[in-house]
Amino acid sequence: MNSLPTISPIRQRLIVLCQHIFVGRDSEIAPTDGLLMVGGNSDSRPFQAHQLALNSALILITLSLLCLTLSVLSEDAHQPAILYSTPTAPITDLVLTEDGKSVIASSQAGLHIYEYPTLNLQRTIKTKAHNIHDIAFSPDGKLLAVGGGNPSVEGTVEIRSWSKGRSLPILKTLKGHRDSVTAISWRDSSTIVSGGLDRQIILWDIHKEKQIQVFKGHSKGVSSLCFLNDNNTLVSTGIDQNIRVWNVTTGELLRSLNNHTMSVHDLALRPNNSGSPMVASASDDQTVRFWQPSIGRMVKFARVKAPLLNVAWLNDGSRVAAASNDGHVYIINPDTVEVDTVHPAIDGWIYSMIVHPTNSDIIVGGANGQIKRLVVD
Amino acid sequence: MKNNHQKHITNILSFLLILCYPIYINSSYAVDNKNPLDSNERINFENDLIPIFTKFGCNAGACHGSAAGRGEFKLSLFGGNPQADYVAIVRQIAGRRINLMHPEKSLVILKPTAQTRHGGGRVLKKNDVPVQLLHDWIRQGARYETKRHLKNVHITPKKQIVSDLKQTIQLKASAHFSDGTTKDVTRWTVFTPEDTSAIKINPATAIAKLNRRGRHIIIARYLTEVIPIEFIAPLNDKIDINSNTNNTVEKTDEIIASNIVNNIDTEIRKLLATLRLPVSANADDATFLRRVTLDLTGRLPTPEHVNAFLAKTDTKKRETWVDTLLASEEFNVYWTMQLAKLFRVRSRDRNTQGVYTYHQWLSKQIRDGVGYDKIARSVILATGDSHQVGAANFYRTVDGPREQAELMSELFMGARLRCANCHNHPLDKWTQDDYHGLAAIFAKIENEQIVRLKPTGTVIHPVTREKAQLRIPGERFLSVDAVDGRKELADWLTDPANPYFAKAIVNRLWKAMMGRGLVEPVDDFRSTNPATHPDLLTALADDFITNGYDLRHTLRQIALSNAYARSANATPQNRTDDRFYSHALKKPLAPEVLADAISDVLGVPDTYGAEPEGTRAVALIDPNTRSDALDILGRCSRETFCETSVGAADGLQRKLHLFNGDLLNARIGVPGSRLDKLITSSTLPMDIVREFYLAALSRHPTHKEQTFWKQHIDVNVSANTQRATLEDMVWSLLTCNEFVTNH
Repeated sequence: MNSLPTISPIRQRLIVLCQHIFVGRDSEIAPTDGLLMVGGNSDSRPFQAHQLALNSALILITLSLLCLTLSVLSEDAHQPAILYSTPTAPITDLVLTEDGKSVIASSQAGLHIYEYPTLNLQRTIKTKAHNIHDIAFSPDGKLLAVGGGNPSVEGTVEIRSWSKGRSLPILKTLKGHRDSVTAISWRDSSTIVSGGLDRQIILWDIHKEKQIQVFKGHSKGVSSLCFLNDNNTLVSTGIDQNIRVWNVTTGELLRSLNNHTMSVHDLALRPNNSGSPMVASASDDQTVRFWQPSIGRMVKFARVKAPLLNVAWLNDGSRVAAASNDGHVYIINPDTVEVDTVHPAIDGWIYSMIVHPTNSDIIVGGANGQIKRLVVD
Repeated sequence: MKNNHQKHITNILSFLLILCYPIYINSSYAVDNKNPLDSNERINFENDLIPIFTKFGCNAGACHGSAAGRGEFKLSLFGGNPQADYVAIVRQIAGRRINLMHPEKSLVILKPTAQTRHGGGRVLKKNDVPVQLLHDWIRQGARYETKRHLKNVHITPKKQIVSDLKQTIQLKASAHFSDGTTKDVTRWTVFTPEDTSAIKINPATAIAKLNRRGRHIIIARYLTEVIPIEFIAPLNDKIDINSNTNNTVEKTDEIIASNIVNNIDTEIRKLLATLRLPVSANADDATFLRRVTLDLTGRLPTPEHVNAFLAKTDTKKRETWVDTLLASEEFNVYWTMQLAKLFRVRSRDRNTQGVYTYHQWLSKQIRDGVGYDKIARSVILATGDSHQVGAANFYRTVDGPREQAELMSELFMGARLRCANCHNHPLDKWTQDDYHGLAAIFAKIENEQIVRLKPTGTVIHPVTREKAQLRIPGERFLSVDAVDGRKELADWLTDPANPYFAKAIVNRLWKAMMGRGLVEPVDDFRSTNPATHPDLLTALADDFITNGYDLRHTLRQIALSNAYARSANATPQNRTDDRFYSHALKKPLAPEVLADAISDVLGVPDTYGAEPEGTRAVALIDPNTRSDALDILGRCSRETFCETSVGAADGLQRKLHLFNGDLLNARIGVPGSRLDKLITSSTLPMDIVREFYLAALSRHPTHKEQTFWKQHIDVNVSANTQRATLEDMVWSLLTCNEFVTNH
């Protein structure tokens, strides 16, 4: 069984289809061991899914052709064809595990564990939250925070265990937001800050599941959070176009920086930076702006040709990567504020981007469940 | 054996899989699908969903279609930008508004069905067809791509005469698409009456029913198409429209019978006949004299003029008088003011020299009878020192290129392009490309004292965030390297085929004479605001073009029409008519005209700032010249178009000041006034009364009025008492409705 190849997404869907037809309930897929695990029932038995798949190869090809034919016909609204492909939810965030062997992605379908660097899907785990917007590992890499919620109802931060294996069991659920949590950032292994579309930012003690501090000031939803190295200064941004700087201990709003002219989606603290900390921000106004939040100054800005959704520093802090809604990644020199290179990545919006901590890889995820690894020189 | 058996079972299951899969898919779809679309049809975001958002008001200005959206969710106004709407719904905030895994948990479904809190409350029920459409669209992958685009929408009926108010009318809308298909979209078309109290329309069935007689307009909207529907319910039953006139046929042949004059009356009478709206009798000579003199020169006829006109028996005396007025200096002065108001000539930043130069230039255009097309070309193409080149001040009227585009479009096209600044015009064809493209033309003009080209001038298009490309609105982009687009703009604007230019100005002339534009408001030409008499408007515009864009010519034709000559006295059958010209409309005198009229009747000139004594209000160059009288009477500062500004022209403030203020009371009997002179010269009291009737109302007092004054003016009382009574008489004349209106 261990020699079985990784099951492709199409085959996974077919297995799910079989499951719907023959079993009629949701389940968790563990394709690496070739078993379709039917959960929630004590009578459940392992089902030889891979055997079914192999024996039905010819049938599957026929079925695929049928799907393809119907799909083509369905392009014409007047043709009697309705076999549309299963909708694929966008990848909303990505994190790399501490050992560097896996990438975890979030979407409306749940948490997806990919093998790195092949990006083969290994497992999908459902979550209670309908939408997940942000995921982040604790500094020690043992806990995974999952920020999301049910839109317009509540925002949650699920604290899941990574050390207990790949099932990511929920240890705690932090509840307090009145709309989806869209941004999270660990302060240390026991405190985390979350920002939501309810415009609030909450600092949590995850062990006591209590709110330590609430930061109110954004006039629209919060989209990104980051701590400065002193761990007592929080930088936040959001749809209200403002970057706000907070004293974490007192909850005081230290300053608002308002040079962006449209919504701001992401922040990233420059690594290996001597002197005043520098934060990069990405905005719909097609700019990456470089800030010194401690002194409230916008240092420079670079303009590109598309609205930007993500920003991340390369490992050495020499350049910044910015991802856009036209599927491109721009590598920008913060000193010259010129675009060094442009990398076509995916088709459509890039909602998430991470930079590998030890090599030159950039991984992006976005529309239609696309995930891709880029190698940047 | 066990393995073979297992394989056998597996093969059977596999075979069943093939058989069951399509059945499974089809059956689940069929159960869910109760929408009017064929179950096999892919739901199209643009053609199937946008009309739903419009139908249920989601993208209206009061909801998510407002400039800032609602609840951080913005849709384009009435679906004017479907691509942006798609991004808002599917892409923004990581696609949180739809749930591809569980469509029923999508915000776009949960919100309008009030399954989660929604500022707009419950708009739809869970099982409503639109909800099912949304659900199925998300389940199909929430895709945008479409292979067919709307070409046009056909509405039936487009015009309907409704004889019986009990009658119901089924409205229908058919959409024609680029792939040649046609679809009944009645259900998703929004039918909105202009006057909701006049027509009720069932939104589910599109059945209309009139509540009131008259002419009513309904706007039908499907996607970007907006189409007016006209309902006419005759105002009376079987009434001869000439029943109130002395003659069954008006005296068209007694007056000059040019084609356009006939056209005016033919078109007016055609609609009156449809409406079964009887016309009032013709105005008498005295009324006509006062009306036309005020309209053409902004001043009252003198008592001498009145007496002379009434004494004439010439059948062409009206025509002769109109020609006299058109040739007079008074006409030049008054119509210079009219154009100055239209062009919003005013001093800004103490630029009095520029205002003077501009006013003088306009005055010369009127005096010389320059065609309106040439006037327009002159201002659009003007460059030079605005202190010396009058026309160049056109570019100093407003601040920026966008404001200049708005001024140009409202002035010369009668169209509100300003509505296309933030979004495509919701009720017309104007797009943001039109608005910002026209502004880009004016961005290349430097509007300092020296008006000159500024090749580096640009405006940023708010959608593309790039420099807007120069554009002739509604027509074409200019070349990307165009520096001065004004000549192409002027050529297009003054081309006889231009659909806006001539109509916009003749409509304003018509309003000046008749009291109401054929299109009203006069700066709001659009297909959804149709003219009351579209053929007449076209005929007037064509005649205007044929006659060299001559303002005097069109004014003359209107002045000589029977419609213009009608009495303002309404009959019981036509008293509700305020737009079909069955009787003349009473027009409040413009503040400047009323101020001058008061001064003329009293014989006491007013003072205006530092202007020489005797300066008339209509001759003032700067509308902000200090004057309490004009402030009281509600003058227009020309900051915006005077036609649409809300002033105190006939408001309570004006009436109170006339009744109680010093505007009249302090001037009626002062030494040197008309009254003082008449009393001093021992004129008989009743002769004084007659003199003031002629001066103020341009007519002799009626027998009843003479009797009244004879009873109140006692010759046996003291001189002071008698003077006080005569002052009261003058006061009463100058405050009466007959004096403060042109009727």
